[in-house]
Amino acid sequence: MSGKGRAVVRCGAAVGLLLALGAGVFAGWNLGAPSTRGTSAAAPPPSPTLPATGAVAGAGQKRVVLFGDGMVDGYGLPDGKSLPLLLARARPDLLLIDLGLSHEWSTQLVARVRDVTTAQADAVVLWTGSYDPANGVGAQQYAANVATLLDALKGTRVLLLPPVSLPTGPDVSAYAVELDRVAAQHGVQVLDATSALSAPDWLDSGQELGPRTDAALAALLAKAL
Amino acid sequence: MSSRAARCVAVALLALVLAVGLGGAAGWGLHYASASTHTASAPTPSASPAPTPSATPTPAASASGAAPPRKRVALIGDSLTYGSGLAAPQDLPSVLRKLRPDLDVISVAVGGQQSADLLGRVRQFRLLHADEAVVWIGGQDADDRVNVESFRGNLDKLVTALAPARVVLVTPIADYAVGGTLFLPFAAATRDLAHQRGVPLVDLDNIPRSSYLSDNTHLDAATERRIAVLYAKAL
Repeated sequence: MSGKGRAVVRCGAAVGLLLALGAGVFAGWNLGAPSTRGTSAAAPPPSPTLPATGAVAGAGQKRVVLFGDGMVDGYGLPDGKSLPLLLARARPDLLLIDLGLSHEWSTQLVARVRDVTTAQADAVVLWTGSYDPANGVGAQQYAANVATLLDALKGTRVLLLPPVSLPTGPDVSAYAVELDRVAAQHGVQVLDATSALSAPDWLDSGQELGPRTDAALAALLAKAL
Repeated sequence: MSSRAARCVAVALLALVLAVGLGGAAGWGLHYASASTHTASAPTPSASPAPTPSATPTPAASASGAAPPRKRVALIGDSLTYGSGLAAPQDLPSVLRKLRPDLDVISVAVGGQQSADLLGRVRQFRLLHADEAVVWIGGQDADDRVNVESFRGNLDKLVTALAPARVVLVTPIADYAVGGTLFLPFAAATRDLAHQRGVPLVDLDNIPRSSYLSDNTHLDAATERRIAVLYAKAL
């Protein structure tokens, strides 16, 4: 190739490379750290109490959905004392998908069960009923809701936890009886959580479980899952 | 010029074509909030055919013969993300899974949530080890007349708290059952924050009322699909 030809080629390649690079930036390709212009502070390092986030984190883990109210979420407790985090520590082989929401009752779970059925879960921990009486859901309706949930989760391993009576709330033993009945009909296991739930500790609100109970439940679930 | 030189020029021209193509792909409601692109007007999601991302394996995966590592994506939001009113597989998460089988899509969307509710659930989101998180929130904030600056502050904290996951923000849309314009300042705040934080933005602009279900709050299947296509491009 002549000197002039080489120059033409170099020039053409350089222009093409620069244009491709420019278009990549325009299209949002991450060629470097994203801009954090403005007043926002840079992201803090991940909390030491939480597992790291990463591209292949969780690869090969069993997927377990925690589905229910704030009790399964450890609501009100600091990260390191909550049921999901304690369970994650005890069983790093599990990817926990925590879908617990504070004070939800069984009817609300029915309305959002699709997020569970599409999560490709290997197992689901279902814990509901503790807040049903306060929201006007009777034991029969509770049973029907649980049956609907179990029907939706058919084919997935489900561990049920029994409802708990709040310190200032009504007794939920009738709900627990219904749970046992529905579980037996569906061939699903109700976890014996007597050791953890017979005398639970409570946060000051009287609505959420305390750290001792969450620790006991995490140990229980770590063995059961 | 020799044949070798001609080949080199052809490579350069190919790069040029690639550049033009990539530049064009940045449009259609998907904005990367850099200073140079954010000011571009956002087109309303139209009824024009949506480009379907290729589901073919990546070149690296093809070369090695191994399955590509799956990127995990958390969908964070309210009933619009959940796809309330639609049966699977018409809901947004299901459509996205279909469009991008290389992604591990986990939906943690809950109807009726405000931005403040999401802040209270950061622990849940981080447990997912998500590589990316799409955050579509603000409709309920608008309905409940939450202070816009509070909303923006919540969203800002959420972007920070989700790190190191890459966050994609999505503008809230009208809830015609409550008011057709309440969302506008919340959408503007979302755009502004995306610009300030330099995070990608899916700008839904002003979705026409005809794209809604009869409840005037939730979107029809075709529109959820178009939004899923935008997500598929952004992720």
